[in-house]
Amino acid sequence: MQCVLFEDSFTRDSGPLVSARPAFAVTCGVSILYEAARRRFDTVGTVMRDYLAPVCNRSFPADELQTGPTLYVNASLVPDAASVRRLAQLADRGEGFMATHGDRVAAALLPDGPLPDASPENVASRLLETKLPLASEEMPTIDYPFDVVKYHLEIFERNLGTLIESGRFTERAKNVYVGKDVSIAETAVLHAEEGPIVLDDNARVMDFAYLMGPLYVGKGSRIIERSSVKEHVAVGHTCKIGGEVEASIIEDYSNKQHHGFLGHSYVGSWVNLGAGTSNSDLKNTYGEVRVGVGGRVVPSGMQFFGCVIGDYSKAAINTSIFTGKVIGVCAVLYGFVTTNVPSFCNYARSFGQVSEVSIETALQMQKRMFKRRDVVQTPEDEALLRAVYEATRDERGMAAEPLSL
Amino acid sequence: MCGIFGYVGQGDILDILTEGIRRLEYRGYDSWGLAVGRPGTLSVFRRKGRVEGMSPEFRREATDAWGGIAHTRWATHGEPSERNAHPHTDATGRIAVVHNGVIENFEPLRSALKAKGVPFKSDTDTEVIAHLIARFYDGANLRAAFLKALRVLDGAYAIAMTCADCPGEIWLARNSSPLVAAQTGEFAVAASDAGAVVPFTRDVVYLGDGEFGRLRPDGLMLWNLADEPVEREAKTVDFDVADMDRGGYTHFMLKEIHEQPQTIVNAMRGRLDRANATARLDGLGLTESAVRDLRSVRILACGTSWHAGLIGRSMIESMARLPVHVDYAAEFRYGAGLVERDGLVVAISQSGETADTLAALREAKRQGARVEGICNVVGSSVARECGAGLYLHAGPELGVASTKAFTSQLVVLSLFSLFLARACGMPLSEAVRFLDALEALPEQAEAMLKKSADTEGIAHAMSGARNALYIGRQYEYPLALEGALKLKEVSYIHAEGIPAAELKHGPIALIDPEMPTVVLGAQSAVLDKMTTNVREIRSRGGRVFAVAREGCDAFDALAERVLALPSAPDALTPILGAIPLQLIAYYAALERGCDVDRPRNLAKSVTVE
Repeated sequence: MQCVLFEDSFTRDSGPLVSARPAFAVTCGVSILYEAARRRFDTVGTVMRDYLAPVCNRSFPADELQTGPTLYVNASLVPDAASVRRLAQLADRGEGFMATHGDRVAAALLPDGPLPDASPENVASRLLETKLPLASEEMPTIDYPFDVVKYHLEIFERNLGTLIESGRFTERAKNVYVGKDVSIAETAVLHAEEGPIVLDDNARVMDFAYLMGPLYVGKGSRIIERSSVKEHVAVGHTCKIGGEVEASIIEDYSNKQHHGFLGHSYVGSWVNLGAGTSNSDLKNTYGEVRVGVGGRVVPSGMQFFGCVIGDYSKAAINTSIFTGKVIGVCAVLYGFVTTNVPSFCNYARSFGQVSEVSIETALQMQKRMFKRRDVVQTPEDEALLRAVYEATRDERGMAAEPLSL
Repeated sequence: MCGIFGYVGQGDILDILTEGIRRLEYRGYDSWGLAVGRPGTLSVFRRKGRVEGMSPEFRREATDAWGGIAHTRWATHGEPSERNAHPHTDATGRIAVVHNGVIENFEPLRSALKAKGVPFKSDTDTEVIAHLIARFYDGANLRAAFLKALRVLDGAYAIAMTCADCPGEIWLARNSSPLVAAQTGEFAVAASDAGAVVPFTRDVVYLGDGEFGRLRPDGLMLWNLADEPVEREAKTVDFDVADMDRGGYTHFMLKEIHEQPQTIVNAMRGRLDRANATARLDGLGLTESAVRDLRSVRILACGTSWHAGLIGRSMIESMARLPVHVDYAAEFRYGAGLVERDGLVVAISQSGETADTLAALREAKRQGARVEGICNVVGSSVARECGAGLYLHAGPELGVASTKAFTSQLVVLSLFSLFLARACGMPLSEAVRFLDALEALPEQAEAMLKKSADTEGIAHAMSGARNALYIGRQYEYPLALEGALKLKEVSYIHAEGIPAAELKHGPIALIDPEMPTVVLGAQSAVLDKMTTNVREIRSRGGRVFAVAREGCDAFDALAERVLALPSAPDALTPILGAIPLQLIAYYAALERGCDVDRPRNLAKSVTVE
């Protein structure tokens, strides 16, 4: 069975989650949809925004499609192992079907073959025009930035279980699973009674670190001494994590090396959170967190939601991020973050300054950060960041809003 | 609907063409015209209004005609006027086209042609056809140009075309709209239906969808759009010339009832937006953002249109969660007549000339309301007064009792409700299911018409009654009102429609063996309650005739007869449920010897207050 992961016209509503990466590469519940699709389907194609393709085709190569039954899966589908399994079962029946979620086509099986010349702008409407019978179940998609945290909590244990079942890990202690060359300091405390702890290849847990499962630490990542990393945390590869973290996703190559709290949040790749940076994930009123999205205020349905920080953003020491904030790509934060932050924005609102991060500055920062991890900045990386800068230009109109705490 | 006619042969060409479209006038009568072929040229005559004689000047001009094409119009694009009347010609005047149907992609084609400098003289979609053919015509191969043009068109059409370069020929094409042709060696004739051909010959060829051809007295050659030859045998028509204006039906009312599968299609044509799971209703001029700013809807209507408005209220409230008020137009006009801020006023009128509705609409506008019209007649007063709205595209409704216009109003209101609901956040899956259900309606309506024998039995049972009750709940309550009205209008039996739950609050005192009750119980949401109502009637000796959903046996043991409706969402049930109620009224009236098409004391369009 061949599968096509497609972005649609709603993808952009996820904000900085997807500004610099395709929706199928957003980590939620330990995994990304691309990997889940690779495990299930023989052939995986992609339909994504043009400017992402040159970089993303390196990390997420797409196969050439053939004629024959083709399962279209929305790239924003929550990467729940159970959902992907269910889709594969429906697809194996060979009969056309469509699953939806809210206003989106979540998945559809075309029995006769793929759509030629599909693009994010037209793929969903073309699928709707085929008038496929509707599946009885809805398949959830990540529609808004806060959804990534909401669904992360719902599917985390299921997906962690699937990861453990892959057989890549050895059970070093009861419910503690490790990959190759994992080092755990003797003074570290690992509590896996409430859920498994999974440490991937070359992960290091330093002295006096406290880990409470269920949680996942990616390849080559380091849990700094005296840190407290608690349930429902998923850390990507090549990260350094310190301070206190709970119920959060941290993508590859990001750092939160020092003290400070991160809770119920999503942190993109190549982010650095300076010492003392903390976020709030609970309102003083204990009420529902409402999040600004595209000029509207959307109720999240969650009592606990911290923030979403886009790829390449940086927070200076002691940055304090208020509840329910969405921070763009390549933003630089100082002081109190009391509003959403556009991409490529120098946000020092509490000091009376909000200005733009120029694309040249952003490229320099990327190059320097890449170098520290022995990654070479390619022309494709540059082109991607330039394209994201242009694509997010409208957000920076917000930088002109009145300055007050 | 329009009527098209073509003739090549001997005789007085102008009289033959005029008589041909006069026989088709039931299909449309707001304007007419003809194009005759003369040596080396074409001459065109067009007029607004009903078919009459042409000017003496034109008669003198066209004495050397070898044949021609003619058209009687029911406007769909462009108001009735001489300018918009057919035939339409290309810029040189050497290609003339008459057309019945709707070209759905005419706007982009028109824009593309205009960008190339093609001058347009009318507002119609048909004119695009003439210009397209001219664009592709190289001066030698008209067939190739015609085929190329047909391949570009989307939509419904029956086309007759003639060219000054090709004397003695008429070119025909059909897709969805009917077209027949005949030739005997001495003449050739083509028309929208066999009724206009029968005076010449009873052996006609029915063109199939996606076919085009060249008609001459010596033969008809047909091809499909893949340019493959098509062979079709002539069939012998068996109806009487006198019947042809009613298309073989004894009454216009019966004909229009039977047209409903097609008129339902017409009301939806070009308006189902599958790609976005919504309705495409450009005529409203409403953006999604404007819809989200609406706080209420107010519907103004009279009679059957008011009943449609009540059903529309239930649809809009349940699907879009917008509050809706429905007013009798005269009560609004002479009452408090409040118009809500951030509201929308919708005026419903088949003819678009109903005086009460027009007056109420003008009052709403005077108060600053945003107004939309839902009408059948293009360019009518209500349509012009609103400036925005939706046409039914049901074709002329000649029976005084409204039948097809009612179901078309319900279809249009369904689309309107879907459009509002999607803008207000209706989930994709619900919208897809609703669209699937709408698309199933024409076939389901056809299935209902096949059961007309069952309704005759009920009509016979009711025809001797002096009074009758119709009861229903939710969507079927207004349908009960409409069923009662139909019975009153054409059979003169007094009938009352009431909400089923209200029966026990007074009207149940009327129940006795002489009072038949028609129970509308096809909705799933309220079936249990309706069953209870039927038991209440039966226990008081009342006679019950029920309409139920296929497969439901809840009324089998309780009702004298049960009519089954195909399964549909509750909101669409009245569209199917109206058909048996119309037929019951029709057959009851027949049995009582009433004038079905011209009931006493009634007029088709009530143009007085």
